[in-house]
Amino acid sequence: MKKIVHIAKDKSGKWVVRADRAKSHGSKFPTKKDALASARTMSRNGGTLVVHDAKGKIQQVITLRTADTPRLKRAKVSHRMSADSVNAAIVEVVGSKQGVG
Amino acid sequence: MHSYDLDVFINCPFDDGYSELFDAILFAVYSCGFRPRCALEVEDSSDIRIRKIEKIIEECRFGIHDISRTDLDETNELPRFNMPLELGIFLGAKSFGSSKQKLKSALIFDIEEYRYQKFLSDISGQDIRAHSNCPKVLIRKVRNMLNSFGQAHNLPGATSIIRSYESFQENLPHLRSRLALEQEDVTYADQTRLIEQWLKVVG
Repeated sequence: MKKIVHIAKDKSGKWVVRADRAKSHGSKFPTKKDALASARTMSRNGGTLVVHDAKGKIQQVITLRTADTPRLKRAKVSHRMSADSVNAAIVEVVGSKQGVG
Repeated sequence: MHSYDLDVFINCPFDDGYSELFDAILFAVYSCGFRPRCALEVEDSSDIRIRKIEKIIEECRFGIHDISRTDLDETNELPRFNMPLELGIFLGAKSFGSSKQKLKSALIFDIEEYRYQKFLSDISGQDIRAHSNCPKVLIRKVRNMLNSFGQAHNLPGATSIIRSYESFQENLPHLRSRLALEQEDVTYADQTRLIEQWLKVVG
């Protein structure tokens, strides 16, 4: 299973990078850009980054793969749900079971 | 690599009773870096269905065929012949087609070993495996078949794919609920989207 890393603003106004199951711990950064760069470094061996907006809502889900992982080939269909909405739902469902999200 | 070498034709029942096995095949195919193709792609088309299916078969080097559903339909008391028909087209393309078509490989499933000899004995000599209606067995055998052809490198192990599949099945009702999708409304396009994104996000 991939490591899911959240980038979210805390009450002090800092941007926190935290892995799932570790809500109270995480590295803090002054800007979202710095937090995202750190999260990308943390996940350089593959993973999923969940970027929240300042209010805590999921803004973007970024999936990272390693070079040696087979690239997923999309089915040949039309009329699909948006990947963004499905990604957000997946993160919420998985996060709700882990007490984060 | 050409899409022909990575496209897998899935020939199986599409009813609710088979959905977990169908998902298992999709999980194995996607996880191994191949693309699933099947007759459901053409559900909305006004073209002649069999021509569309022939075209999909022509575009796929690999085929996964499940001939296990030999039961009589409860309403009509007749068997369904679509799976043996599509298997026949696939094997015919391999026999009579171009040199590219002759590269085709088929993995054929039934519930029990050798049961096919009672209703489809002419396919003796093909690669026919038993899945016992078990998604885990299906995933393991599909993954190992795709691995043996060496089209993709560094495939995940069967156990890893099974773990991801089981987690997906466990979370699927919650996921559908979040997306306001009733089970009976989920189309092939929806289901493949859910599985593709699950594998990308959760792995």
